[in-house]
Formats: sequence, C-alpha cells, structure tokens
Amino acid sequence: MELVIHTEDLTKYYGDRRGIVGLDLDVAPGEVFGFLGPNGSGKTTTIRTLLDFLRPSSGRAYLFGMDSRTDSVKIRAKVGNLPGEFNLDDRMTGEQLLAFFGRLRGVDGLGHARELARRFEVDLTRPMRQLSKGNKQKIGLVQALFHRPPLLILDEPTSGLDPLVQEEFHEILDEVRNEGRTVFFSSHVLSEVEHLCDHVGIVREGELVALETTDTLLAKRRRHMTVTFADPIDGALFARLPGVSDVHTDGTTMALQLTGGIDRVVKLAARYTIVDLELARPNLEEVFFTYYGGGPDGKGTA
Amino acid sequence: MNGVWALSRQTLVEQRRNIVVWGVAMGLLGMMYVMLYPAFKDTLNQYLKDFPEQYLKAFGISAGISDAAGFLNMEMFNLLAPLALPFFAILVGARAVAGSEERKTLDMLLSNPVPRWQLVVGRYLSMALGLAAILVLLALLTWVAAPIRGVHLPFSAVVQGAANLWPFCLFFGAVALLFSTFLRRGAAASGAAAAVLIAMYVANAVASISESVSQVRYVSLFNYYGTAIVSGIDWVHFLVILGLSLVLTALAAVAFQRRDIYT
Repeated sequence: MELVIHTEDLTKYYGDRRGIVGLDLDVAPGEVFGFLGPNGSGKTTTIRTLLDFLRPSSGRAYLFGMDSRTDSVKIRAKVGNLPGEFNLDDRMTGEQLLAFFGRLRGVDGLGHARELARRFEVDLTRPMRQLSKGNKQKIGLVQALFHRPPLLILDEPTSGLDPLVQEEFHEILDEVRNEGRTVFFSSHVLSEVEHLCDHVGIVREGELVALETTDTLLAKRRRHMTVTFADPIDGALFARLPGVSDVHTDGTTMALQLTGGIDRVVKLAARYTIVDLELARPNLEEVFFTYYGGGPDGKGTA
Repeated sequence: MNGVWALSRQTLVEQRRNIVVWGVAMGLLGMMYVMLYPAFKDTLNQYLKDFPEQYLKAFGISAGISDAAGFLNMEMFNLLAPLALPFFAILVGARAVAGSEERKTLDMLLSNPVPRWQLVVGRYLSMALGLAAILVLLALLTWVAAPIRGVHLPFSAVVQGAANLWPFCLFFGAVALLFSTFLRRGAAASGAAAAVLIAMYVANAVASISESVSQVRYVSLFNYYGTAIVSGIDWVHFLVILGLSLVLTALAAVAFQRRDIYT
C-alpha cells in the first residue's frame, strides 16, 4: 500500500532559524491524520514544504509516491489545501474565485462547491471585502474541498469557525473519510484531534516527538481528577495505585494526576461516599507534559 | 498553457477598471494636446528656434513641431506617455509575486496545479494585453480630436506612436516582475522598477546635453525609443526592446522557480 505522505529526515531552516528538523512522517491512505503542536512549532512549515512552497534544507518528502520538489504540479492536482493564513481578492466573489480555481484545475461546474457553501452557510455571491473572518475561512474550506481531492491538507481548519459550523465541518470530514480519501490537518486543539483523527503526530520546536494512534495518545495522557468525599480521606491509599501521582488531600477533597485508565481509581474511591467527581480534559501543554515528564517546558514557542 | 490563459484572464478581470481609467486618461491628454495645437503652433516654433539643437535632442524634440504629430511627439509621446504609462505595467508586475505574498494570496493560488513559471508568464501576458487595450484607447481618443479641431493628423502616425509605447512599457513591467521575485515587498519592487525608469530618463537627457557623458545614453532605453509618431516605428529597436522584456520575464520565472514562497 503506497503511503499518501512520506517524509524522510525532512529539515527546513530559514537561514539560522529553525523550521523543522529531521521529520519522519507517514500517512496511510484513508487516514485522518492530526498534526498537533503549539504555535511556532513547525506545523505550517511542514505543510508548506510538502506543497513545494518551501524547499527543504535537507531530506525529502513524497506525496502519492511522488517527489515534492520535482512532481509538485502533479501532486497539487490531487491535493486540496487550506492555508493557515490567507487573504482573498477584495472585489472577487466566492463564485468568481471558485470558477477561476475550477479553470486552473480543469473542473467543470460548481455544483459541489455550491453544495458545500450551502452546508457551511456562506454566501458565494458577495465580494470578499464584505465577508467576516469566519466566512472567509469557510470560502477557504470550500475551495479546498470542491474538486474532491484524494488528499486534503488543512492548516488549522476550524480557526474562526463557530461551533455549529465546526460540527458541519466534522461531518464533512467523516464523509471524506468514508469515501476513502485522506486528510492531514494541523491543530493546536487537542479535543478536536481526539474526535477526528486516527493517527496523531505531535511536533514540538520543529521535531516530531510522537507519532501515535489516537487511542494510544489518549491512554498516555495525564488527566486531573478531583474527588470530594463526604468524610476526610487518606490520600496515601490512592498514591499507591499505578498511574497515579501528585496526590494532594485537603480535608475531604483529593486532587490527583492520572495516566492510563480511570477504572482502578474510581473503584477505590467508590468504597467511600463521593460528593463530587471532576475529570478535567488535558490541554495540549499537558500532553506535552506527559511526553517530557520534566517541567512545563512543553509549552513551545508562541 | 491553460494555466497561463486562466491566470492572465484573471489579472485582466482584476485590472479592467485600471485599464479603462489609464486608457481614457491618456486618451484625454492626447485629445487635449490636439485641441491646443493650433493655438500653440506659431508661438512654440518661434520659441524653439532660439534653443540649441542639443537641448531639443535632450527632450526628444529635434524633429521639431512643424505639424500636430511633432507637437504630440514633444508633449505626449516623448515626454508624458513614456514616463507615465510604464507605471501601469510596473504595478501589475510588482504585484505578481512580492505583492501577492505580501497580501497573502499566493499560497492559495499556488495550491492549484499550476507551475510557477505560468504565474510569471500569465502576468506578462496580461500586462501586454492590458497595455494594448490602453494604447488603443489612447490612439483612438487622440486621433478623433483632430478632425473636430480641423488639425491634420494622419491616423497611421498616431497608431505608430502608440504602438511604439507597447514594448517600451512592457520592458519596465518586466523589470518590475523580475524585482518582485527578488524582493519581499510589492512597493519595493515597483519602487525599484520606477527608479530604473527615472534613471534611464535622466541618463538620456544628460547624455544629450553634455558631450563628455554622451556615452551613458547607450544604457538608457529612451535612446532606442525614437520618435515613432513623426518618423515611424524603428522595427529593429521595437523587436529588440520586446525581446529584452521577454528575457527579463524568463529570468523572473527562473528566479521564482528557485526560491521559497515567503509568508
């Protein structure tokens, strides 16, 4: 089975400034791949190198088995791309933009584009200058999707979208997945990646620090649990459990950190009378915290 | 080649208002000079008699103003038009790469399966077609004033005068196109191309006045521009200038192919 994206030691420096270093990445056909990392970690650099906007300092990237440098035009014919940052010509309407891109791609008719615009609830007849940031983002999504590409590359696709539209976007991604197409998208929102992705790559300061199935990632993550009991509790009982650390008790309230399953902790806690139980979703920094153990260094550069 | 057509068509659509404004503005100026000619004719010729030949040459008017074509040559086709009209091409050229990067429109455009050279060539083509449209408006509006005012002005003279501006302006557009692949800012690219235009004008003027630096005229495109409205198009110069603009465009395509696209 030919990989849709395959990079070998892909490295990009901007002069002395680090972009990405030694990236080895594999994305299989039909997969929804989440590319996760804080701002400035190298997500956009990776995407722009895959698309030949940037030339690697060393290493190579292959899409559909084709070299990103020499076969870029053939590659881009099979890719729908949503840039992380873009502007649209002020006077052009969505319809005009899509007709133009259709001509460049040899796509006849805007049937699918109109269908997508309807689902995203964006007006294709208005000039871009009249559109809000969120609506421009929707036009960006429509232009990435309307030609039904085998690979979608989306840089922070849901930024600026309201929750209802995000929901619609997630549905469309499900349809894309069901059609066997591949999606590569970057995000700094962990929950979104958890929901949508089969595999997750985590990039930090230009280096790929983890390449996991979403399930493995979730199993590894560290969560905060806070339990309030009816009576004062002895935290030492919980500290002995595997995967549990940083147990703090304050009278009837106990806070702890948890990696892996919650089953054992819940069963032990259930022997006492529980008033309240809270399980906080970890944010991206905490996932990094898991991977680096050490300090809050995992924040990356903003 | 589909990409080249689609890209140049798109630029022309974006530029359609500019093209009409440039064409009508330049045409009205031409019209105005035709209208003014009868009133200026005698006084100007009297006045010019007192000037040394070299000064007249410096301003491209050694051909004199014995007729309306000569007057138009002096005021319009050898002064105003070659200094102003290149700016249409310069602005289109500067926007091609650096300007688009600056406005953050290039990543999305190049997400389409278009080779980068087609973007450069498409820009050049739209520049050439847009200029042609402007020059048609300029020639028509200028010429139409002659019978109204009862001035003798052959249509072929106006057409040749206008046509001669075409490769001249394209050259500076191609200079801007090349700069826009080297520089990161659209304004820097158009500024650099404008500086080349002004420097060439000054070099030619200075070379005509001062014998000691007369050699510098050879680096100025104005030296090869001629006085087509009076003496007809010099086809060798016409084609060489056109060829130079194509060479600059090819260089721009190569330079763009080799570099990163900035954000």
